[in-house]
Amino acid sequence: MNSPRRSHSPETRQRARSHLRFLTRSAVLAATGATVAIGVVVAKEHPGASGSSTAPAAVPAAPTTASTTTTTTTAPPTTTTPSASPGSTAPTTTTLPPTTTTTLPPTTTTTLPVVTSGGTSR
Amino acid sequence: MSPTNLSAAQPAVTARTFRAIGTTATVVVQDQSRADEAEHLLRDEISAIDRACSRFRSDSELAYLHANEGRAVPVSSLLFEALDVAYSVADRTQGAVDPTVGSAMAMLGYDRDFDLIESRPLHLADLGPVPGFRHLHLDRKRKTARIPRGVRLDLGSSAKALLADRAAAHIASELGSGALVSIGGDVAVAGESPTEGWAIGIAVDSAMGPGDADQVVAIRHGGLASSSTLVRTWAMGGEQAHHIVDPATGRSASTSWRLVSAAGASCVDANALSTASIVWGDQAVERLRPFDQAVRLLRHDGKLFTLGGWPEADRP
Repeated sequence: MNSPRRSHSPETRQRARSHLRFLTRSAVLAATGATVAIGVVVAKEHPGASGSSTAPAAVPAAPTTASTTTTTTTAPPTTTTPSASPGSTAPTTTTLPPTTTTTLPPTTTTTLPVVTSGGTSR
Repeated sequence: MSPTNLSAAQPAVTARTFRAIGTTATVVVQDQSRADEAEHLLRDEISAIDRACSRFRSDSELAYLHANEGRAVPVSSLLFEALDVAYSVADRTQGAVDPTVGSAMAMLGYDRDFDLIESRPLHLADLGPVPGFRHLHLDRKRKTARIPRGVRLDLGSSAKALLADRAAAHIASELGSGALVSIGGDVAVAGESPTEGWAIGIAVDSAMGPGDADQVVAIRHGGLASSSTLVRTWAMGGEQAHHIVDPATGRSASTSWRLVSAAGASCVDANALSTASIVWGDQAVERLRPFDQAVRLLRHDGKLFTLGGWPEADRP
């Protein structure tokens, strides 16, 4: 069954053309915006990388992730040597997180101690 | 107890030492005139934690929790804090320091104050892995705790460190000056420290005098704790037992270490690693690396390992 053919006035056709132009522009703008957004994300995630072999990324490289320990710790007061694992036990694959609160390590002192820390005999 | 003037050791610090909860408690303050007050405050803190956490007292809150196994029991803020700390320590150490070792401790003979332990036959077949800390259920909103039937808790390790932290903070706050508290060698400091820090001797036995320490270190914040299996030992059915239980076996931990000392942002943090290292044994050094804490490990053969910036040099 054929649908009844409708007649369109010039005004109606003009409105339809305007609407179509608006939709087309919107689609183009949205696609452009998405492309730019993707570019920004890529540039941040991969600073220095570029889709072109000649043009550098337009967005400045994002700063590197700051270490959570550098702001709260200082170098040990005395030299330390990384200690070897005792025995022949294979290294574990523990993924324990470090403590949330960082504190400075003890320092050596020539002062006589006020208490002794050791096993609790009594 | 009369004050001990440690002016020869550290200028203007005064120490009070007394017996409590089966061990030795010490408070050190910089203002000699406030020493009495500091001692009273420490005694109050000890009494409070003993009433809440002791598994040797029939009238403790912990005993009430045990008597009501399988039910959610409302508990005081102090016991809730102690249980919460014990759970957190167990979580951080992946179960190496586990509060559900109560029954294992009892089977090993440590079911009464340490001074009263007697040798009895040991039934090895009864020993096995402990239930695990995740069986401890804490409801923060209702301030309740629940343990399954048959589970018994021992908060000794973390509660002693918590006591040191709480007491040091309370005393420093009340006195408005720096304070150090040691509970059986687990040390916490709070408030302003002496110019060179609080000097602490490191020795296998915390009862050793200052002159017998292997090393002297200073801390200005937080805490420092040590664990050893060479002291607090007893004979049990022909076996030598000690107070650090390996949760995986339910037996006294078999370890490579004579002494492990650790520093931390609190005494609880320090005690967690010193105790866990005893349980971890040969794996301790590797397992300690992810933690940002200074640790000193003395192996039975005398070899010394240091991590996290712990100063290496021992006394000549």
